[in-house]
Amino acid sequence: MDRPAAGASYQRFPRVKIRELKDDYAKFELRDTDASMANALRRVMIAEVPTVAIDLVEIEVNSSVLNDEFIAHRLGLIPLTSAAAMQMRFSQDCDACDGDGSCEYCSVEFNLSARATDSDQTLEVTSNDLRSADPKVCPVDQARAYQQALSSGDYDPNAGDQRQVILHLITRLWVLLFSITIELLSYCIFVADLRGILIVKLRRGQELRLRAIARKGIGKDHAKWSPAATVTFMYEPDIRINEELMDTLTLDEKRSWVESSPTKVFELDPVTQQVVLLRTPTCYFHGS
Amino acid sequence: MNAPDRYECFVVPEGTKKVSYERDTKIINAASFTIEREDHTIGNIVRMQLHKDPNVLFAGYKLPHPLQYKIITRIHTTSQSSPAQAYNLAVKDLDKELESLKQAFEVCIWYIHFNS
Repeated sequence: MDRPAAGASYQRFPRVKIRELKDDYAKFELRDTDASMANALRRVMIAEVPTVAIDLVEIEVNSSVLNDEFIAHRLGLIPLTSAAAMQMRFSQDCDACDGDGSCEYCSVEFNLSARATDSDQTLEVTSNDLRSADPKVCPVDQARAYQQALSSGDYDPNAGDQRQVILHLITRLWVLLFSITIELLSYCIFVADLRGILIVKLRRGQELRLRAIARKGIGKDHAKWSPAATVTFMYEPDIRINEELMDTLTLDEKRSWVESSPTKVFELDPVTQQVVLLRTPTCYFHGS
Repeated sequence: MNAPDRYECFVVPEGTKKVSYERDTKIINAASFTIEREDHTIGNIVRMQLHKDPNVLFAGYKLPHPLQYKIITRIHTTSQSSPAQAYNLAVKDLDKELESLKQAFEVCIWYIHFNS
């Protein structure tokens, strides 16, 4: 049986071009590859990128209105800065400890202690009250508040290193434009609200004291470990203007034609008085 | 009550092989590969890569049941190649492609940091 040449390779060479890159949002184009690659990237970003989240909660005192497991569930959903997640081990793989959470390789310990003093005001227990044993891993709100408190431009690279990514796939084979939108952890933090994520409210005399252990995990196991808020991708449409028909319109008609599209796709070039596509296309569906 | 634990969908239990191979007795140059604890993320990508190989006559994958976390990939090839060889080639090419994608990203990020 003849074997084909050992050097046969059907590899593609994908190209990437980042359009926007912010702290929690990014948009990029992906070309010369397949839709399955884009989809796999999307699935992995949602479900298989490891992060750190609270997994084990030991409650000493809880006299609040919410029961223990309710509070434990809420604690698990608090996003933590996970830049250190790649150095950590999964707790099932860690052989340095016996799984009780005191191991430094696979877990981070948190403490929360809140007691409503004898005043009539309701005490709000928030993520700011969580004290971490490791400063690199802390609730994202705390990291953001710290960053804003510095406010002199010193950027702390360990704080909130999540990015939103939008992939635009453009495949040469079909001349269809694909664009993938991935928003990683777009927490709706309004700039003025630095109080942190609310866990529970305490009335006079109520107390909450607990010890929580955060572990590394992936989104497949539980959604609290998923770093992504939304991930979408789409083909970017290939728009060609029929120049012959366009020439039959008057200038006013061209202007109204350009303005009639709900998102800004075309513009009227004032010099040549031709309708052209916008240079940097915005998202055609939600204009972002 | 009957639902398996969530960690079962990515943790391979002791004693189970990650990938197993079964030749088809009735058709020559046809085989099925069973990959444990994987899903569409890997299955679709490998299938699309197999389609690019001209020696592959048929390539498909399925999840036999959504609560059983494995995929079965079926490959028929011409006599020029064999299913195992086609599969090996597909996985190697994907590996290289993902490596080049990673490098393309890193170049982009480096470029952005360099210019900011």
